[in-house]
Amino acid sequence: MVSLISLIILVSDDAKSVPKLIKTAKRIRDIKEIIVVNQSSNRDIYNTAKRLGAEVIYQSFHGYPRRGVSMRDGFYFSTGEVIMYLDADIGVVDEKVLSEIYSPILSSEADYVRGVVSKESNKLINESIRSLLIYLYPEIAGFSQYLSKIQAGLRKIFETVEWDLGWGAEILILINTLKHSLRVIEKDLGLKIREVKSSEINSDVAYELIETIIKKALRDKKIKENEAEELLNKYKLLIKEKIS
Amino acid sequence: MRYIVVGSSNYVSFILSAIKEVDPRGIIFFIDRSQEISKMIASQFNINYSYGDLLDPSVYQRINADIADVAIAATDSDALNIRLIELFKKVFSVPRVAAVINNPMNINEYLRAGVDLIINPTATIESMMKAFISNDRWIKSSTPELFGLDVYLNRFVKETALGVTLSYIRDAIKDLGDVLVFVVSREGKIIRDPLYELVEGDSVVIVSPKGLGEEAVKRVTRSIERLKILRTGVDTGITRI
Repeated sequence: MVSLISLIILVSDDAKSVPKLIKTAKRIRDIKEIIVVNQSSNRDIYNTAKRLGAEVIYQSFHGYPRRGVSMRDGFYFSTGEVIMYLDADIGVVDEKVLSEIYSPILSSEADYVRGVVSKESNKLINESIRSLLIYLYPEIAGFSQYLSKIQAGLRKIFETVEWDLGWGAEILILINTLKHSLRVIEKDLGLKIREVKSSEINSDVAYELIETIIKKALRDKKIKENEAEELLNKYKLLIKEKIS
Repeated sequence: MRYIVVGSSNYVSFILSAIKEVDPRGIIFFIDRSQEISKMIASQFNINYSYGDLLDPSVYQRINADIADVAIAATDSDALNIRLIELFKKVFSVPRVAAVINNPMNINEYLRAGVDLIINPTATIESMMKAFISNDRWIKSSTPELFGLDVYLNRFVKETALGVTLSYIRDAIKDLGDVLVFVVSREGKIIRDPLYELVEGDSVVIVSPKGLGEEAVKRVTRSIERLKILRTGVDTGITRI
């Protein structure tokens, strides 16, 4: 039985939900530490989270989200045997939602659990990279989302991952679970999120994910340099077409 | 001395060069998560290396971290550097622990972890930028905490302070004790002559024990402005911090 969960809350400028998320997490006996990774320079987030008893660390590099930097920093700061990530922009979630994600790990049903939330903006990203994954890493092509607002996994998954500092972090985590034959499940949380990201931003995210997958496949010797270049160009074009 | 340098951030090669220059006979161990990177950097600097999970104490036990004189956490993750500071201080009792800070907003966490020296590359950028774009303003120069000094500089261009003698400036801070004031001319010549009168492009340098610099600057500023008002009857308010 795993006894210690580190909850890592990733916070950008939208920090409205942070106090409630911390208070909710404090009520859960299995969560032993709450770490807020502040992606902005907003000092209020620091003060509020500290006051409520969370540990706070600023993301190591400034700049556009750098999701992998935040995830990595949060992990290094944590001590738990189970690492749970929660994006603050998911809004306010209750104990039941958090429990759906970490419970399968505590009961040894799974090693890594990814929460699925309904999000229109994810469509472009998911469709674009699924076909690439079918070709390069078919074992993880069946997931419904590749960027998750809430997820949890055993510490060893994050200890051994090659951290991508951008949007590709989660893809590398998923590929790492394959390497170690770990059990990954998705949980549909029945939540709907309204995100107001432009299609340009979504296409940037999709580009980054595609680049991460192709570079990883190259390192894993699944493809050669020339094929990597061809794939990169092909998928960039595909995204462009989808946007237009 | 024995040194442990951890992490392969941008700054690590500068750190290793500095150690080699100051202590060529020092024993240096470089540690990174990647075997390939550790090996490459070690061969570049002709030093020892090891690799592994950077938060696993056994990685450091292997290289006898408990007898190290200096440990430097130089990864590109502040969270990891904080954990390394704690590890070196609390587990291995390394006497001197330094760490690179990637985001200066984390400074309090570094201090809480017990760091002896924070290597803050952004401080140099800030101070250079300020010096580059401003005249007639006091700039606090970045000096490592351990030197226990405040250094303030002001390059005078506008008329405000021109003609003021060095002794007049020194008088303003004479009660503060050991505060050193001198002038660096445009040509880079150091001037200590109390009767010297400031000319355009001269820089006034104030060196004081830590914590006294700001007060010294305030007094000099007030004194120069007072003189200006006496001379012209106009409050210019030009020389600000």
